[in-house]
Amino acid sequence: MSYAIVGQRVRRVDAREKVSGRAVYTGDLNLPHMLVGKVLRSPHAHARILSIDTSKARSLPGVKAVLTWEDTPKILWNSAGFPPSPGAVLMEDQYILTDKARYVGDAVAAVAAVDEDTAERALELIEVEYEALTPAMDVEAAMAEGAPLIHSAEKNVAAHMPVVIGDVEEGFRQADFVFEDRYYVPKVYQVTMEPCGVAVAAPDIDGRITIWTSTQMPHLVRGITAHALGLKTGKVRIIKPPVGGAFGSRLGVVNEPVAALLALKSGYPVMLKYTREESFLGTESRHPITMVLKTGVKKDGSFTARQMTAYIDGGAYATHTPSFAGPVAGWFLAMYKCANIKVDNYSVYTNSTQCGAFRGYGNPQVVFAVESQVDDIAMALGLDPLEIRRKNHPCEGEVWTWSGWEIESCGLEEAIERGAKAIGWDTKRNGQAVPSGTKKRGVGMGYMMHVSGARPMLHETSAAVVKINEDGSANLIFSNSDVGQGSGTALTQVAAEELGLAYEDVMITKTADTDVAGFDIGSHASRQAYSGGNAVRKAAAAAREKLLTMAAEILQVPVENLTVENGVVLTREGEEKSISVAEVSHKAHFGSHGHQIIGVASEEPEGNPPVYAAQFAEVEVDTETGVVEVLKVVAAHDVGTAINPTLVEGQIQGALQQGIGYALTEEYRYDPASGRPLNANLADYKILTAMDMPEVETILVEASCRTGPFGAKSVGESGLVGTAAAIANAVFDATGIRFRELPITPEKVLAALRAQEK
Amino acid sequence: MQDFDYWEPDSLAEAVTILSALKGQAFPLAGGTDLLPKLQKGQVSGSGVVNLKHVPELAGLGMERTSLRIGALTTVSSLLANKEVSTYFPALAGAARALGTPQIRNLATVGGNLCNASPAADLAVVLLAYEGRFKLAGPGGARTLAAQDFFIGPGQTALTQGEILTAVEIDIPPLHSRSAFLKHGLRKSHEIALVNAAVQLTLESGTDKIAATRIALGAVAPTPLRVRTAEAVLVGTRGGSAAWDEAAEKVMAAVAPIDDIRSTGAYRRHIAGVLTRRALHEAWGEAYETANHA
Amino acid sequence: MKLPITLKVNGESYRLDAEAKRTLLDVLREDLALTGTKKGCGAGECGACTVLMDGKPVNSCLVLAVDASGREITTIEGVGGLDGLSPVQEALVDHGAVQCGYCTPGVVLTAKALLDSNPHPTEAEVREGLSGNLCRCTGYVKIVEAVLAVSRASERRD
Repeated sequence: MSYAIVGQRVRRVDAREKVSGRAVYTGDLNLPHMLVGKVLRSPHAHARILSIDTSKARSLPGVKAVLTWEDTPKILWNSAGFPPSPGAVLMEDQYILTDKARYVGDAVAAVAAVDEDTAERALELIEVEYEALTPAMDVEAAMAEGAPLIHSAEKNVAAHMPVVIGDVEEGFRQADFVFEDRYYVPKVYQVTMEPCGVAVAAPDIDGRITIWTSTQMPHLVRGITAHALGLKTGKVRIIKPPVGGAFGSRLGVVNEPVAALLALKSGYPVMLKYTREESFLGTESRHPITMVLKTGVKKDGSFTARQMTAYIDGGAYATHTPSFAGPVAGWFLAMYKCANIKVDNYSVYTNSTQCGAFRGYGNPQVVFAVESQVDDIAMALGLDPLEIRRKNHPCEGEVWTWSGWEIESCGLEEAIERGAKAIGWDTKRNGQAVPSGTKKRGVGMGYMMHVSGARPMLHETSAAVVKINEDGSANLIFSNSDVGQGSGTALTQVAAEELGLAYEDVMITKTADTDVAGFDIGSHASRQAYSGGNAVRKAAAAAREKLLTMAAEILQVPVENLTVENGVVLTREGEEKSISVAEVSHKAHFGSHGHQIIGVASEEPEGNPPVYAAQFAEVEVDTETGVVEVLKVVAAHDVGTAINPTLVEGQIQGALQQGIGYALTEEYRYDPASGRPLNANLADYKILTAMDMPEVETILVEASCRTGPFGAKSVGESGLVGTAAAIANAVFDATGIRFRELPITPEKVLAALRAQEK
Repeated sequence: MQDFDYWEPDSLAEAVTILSALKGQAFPLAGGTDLLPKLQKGQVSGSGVVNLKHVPELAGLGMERTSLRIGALTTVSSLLANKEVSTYFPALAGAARALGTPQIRNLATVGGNLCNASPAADLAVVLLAYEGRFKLAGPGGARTLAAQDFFIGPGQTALTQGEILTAVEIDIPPLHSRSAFLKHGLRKSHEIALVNAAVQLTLESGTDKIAATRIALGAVAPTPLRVRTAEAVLVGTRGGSAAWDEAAEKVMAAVAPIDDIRSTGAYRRHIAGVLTRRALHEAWGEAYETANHA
Repeated sequence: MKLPITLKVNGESYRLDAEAKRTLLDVLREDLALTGTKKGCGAGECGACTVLMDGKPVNSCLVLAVDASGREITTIEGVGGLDGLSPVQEALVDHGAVQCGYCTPGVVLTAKALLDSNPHPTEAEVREGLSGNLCRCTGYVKIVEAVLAVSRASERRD
């Protein structure tokens, strides 16, 4: 099916303002009498706060507010951006400023002052007396007998979530072989180029507070911030300017409550902008997980039992973690068909910065483990790795265990076929024969499936208003949570397509404002095109229907005979009768009717269609240095209808940079004894540069679905989900060595090669 | 960040006078790529900054008879753009290209990279292999130090109070010489070396016999390290993988790398050997060409 | 210690008094309201604050404002605006090489300087030239394509 605007590579709505430096981000704002906020952070990973003396800081000229736990509302809250839903387990365990230090960087006090120097000086003048406690920096230490309690949860286990389908013990009995392996994936950091944690809060005389913030979810942040402050939701107004990247890091509140509290206490607008180091120290990152996988297989490669026990390191506060355990189970359950599946997830507190959302939300972790083991199984059984995946993945028409709903469409077979061809699978793969020489090459693949929203675990409400102006252009009012991915552009295309207007004639609200746009969940779970797109399409359809009804009256033809294309309403049979949208709209405004044509929709989408990808990597392993160089990645993705192929490719290409980093170079590290972060900067936390990116080939498979807008599903997160597995499997193909721990650093590779020689 | 006093001397004499008077309480500023982040993070404290950019005696890059004079203010990118450097000193060009990022190379100076005295400094290891002569000027007058005497420890140089590095001189290598520089890091750009290595090989004319060699490594000891034991095993030999292996063994025995956030010492030691072998192999191939087909 | 500084930015001269410690980045953003130049780290590690100094890309967070006195500074505000975008900017828009946009001003200036000094770079030269501009959105794929496209377009005109 082809469309006029959907499927076209139109220019982004915000490209020109961004290339010209005219886009005004939160951190660029400047309000009259605006103060500078700063946060005092704990130098200890775990400590009791015995006393805080703020008298010197308070008496420093230019200081307008000094806050500690004493000044915070005594309301516990949870920062994770979830709507109240069946799948949201919101354990409330934090205050705006803490009364006990639970990680290095925990917010102990905050100041607002007339300038940055004064604010910094004020921080230095705050005297805190700590009683240091032993920190627990990983799940083993936290769950050990006698470990210090970070909150009050026994053994520091915040939650335990078992899921059982069938009977795994019976499944293992039926198996010809049982594979049991342990995998570990580290903490990695989103590294948005705009450091995470920037907000301006301004109180007003009517008791409301306006917060400009770099966020993914204006409405949910409004609710959480209001709750933390003890205000009614409507008292808070959130405005979201352009956002300098998110990838999950802004999925919930970041520093809005403390900025707001400083503003309310001082009476002035306060800019609270975290430095790069603070954003590492004080904001959420990807969960490290230890996963034990046990899989029973028949000789023919079918699975009789699948079991995963996962220990999720949630860090110092619950935030997302107990809810996050749900999707972690979901990814595992839904990847492969099996009658007997068991998942045991433990959410564990540690004295590291709390973990939250990072593109993929547990899926990259699970897929690394599952796809590594499936490759081992294929190898042991003498099966083609592609074949074992084709045989076992659930497909269109079958039940998708993630949601319990039928799979609407599945383009995985095509993705595997085209991806394999593009990487040269048949010619380049070594298989059982490990190559010789100093530099060894190999190819590998990983498969993944992902969501288009979070239904039925979470609500996926979106709202849109489409109003047709008197000149025939249209405004799309939407709580635009575009954080760089281009959803604002895609939604504009959906509206223009449905309205029959030119793309340029539809203007979306670029800045989200909770006082203006209807309730929207925001950018998470790759939902914007699907959930947002459906609401936008419905609102546009409603406007279109009103437009055609009025045109039918003017043209004296039955409304069923009318359509609208490129700004003109015309009869379906031909061009005998036509009228421009501008003319109809003008008559609507200023003719006898006296109204504007407006379409409104607020709804949840009907489904949650899964997307699929097969990613392939070719690597070269330098056996003298242990360096793994990725030579090429092929990413074949089923995204449903690609509303804008350029944007879709951009999502995949950018995600690959993060996925390759996850596989090879990225790890946020702490000193295990002190809990001090070791690489909270961009010199030592290594994201890939332009010179490090390999050749990338993206392949779009468009298995359109019934419930998506024009058949669209999703793409935002999926690009990095299978990447680490594909690379690890390629390293195995090159060397015969299986790495079950990320990142696969040169040191680890070299050590494994030495061990292999022996 | 604390404010500081600021001086902008426009002669060497003035710069020396100011730095001497401040008795180590002020920082000399050249490119600023190391100093500014340290000042901003409060990692160093001092009362002032003495900007050396306007001191004419520290500028200039060019041949003086048979040696290249590199003024301390020479930026890394101007080293890269210089014809003499790429023709006669390929290892220097290689190190310049491997340093930082394009933006940093446009700011960072040779003098700054050397005086910062990081054990991993890319230019230091090369200038050690080229046997650079470090020209110093201070309250007591001018003096010249050999490269290996300039570096004393991590962040420490032989500069005395008020003394400034004005230039480094390196001689055009003898005929039938070739040099090579290699750097090992996790990325291809934007890296502080886990290990770096510079070698120079000189062959006897018309033969494949090694007349002289120099081998230097960085990030494997408190200072950039010249490994004469490794050099010694190569002189008089005809090179080849066994010879490179032997030199690499000597390097691995001589280095004393530490464990840090970037690498374990054991891995650094291993990589020191690999880079030595690879750099010697690379330099040898080119030297052999010049010695036998020139 | 406040010092009188004359900054030449985008062809205009600005006279101001600034403390010695202040960086060019902070003065551009705070005193001249040229907020197109972004701060991503303050340590020369990300390239978001790239400006051109005498035509060469530098990290403006690593330059003292007083030290930039008398140099020709070009910020993103000096490269294309209401009366039209520069070729690099147009190419980035056309190729979908912009996502969150936070690294983009730095990328534009670095690419402009690269093409000014080397109008027809190889792909490897483009990647090396951009290796000081970290981007977390695009994987650099479309950025590199866009810069090469500018080179090809100017080749056709040559």
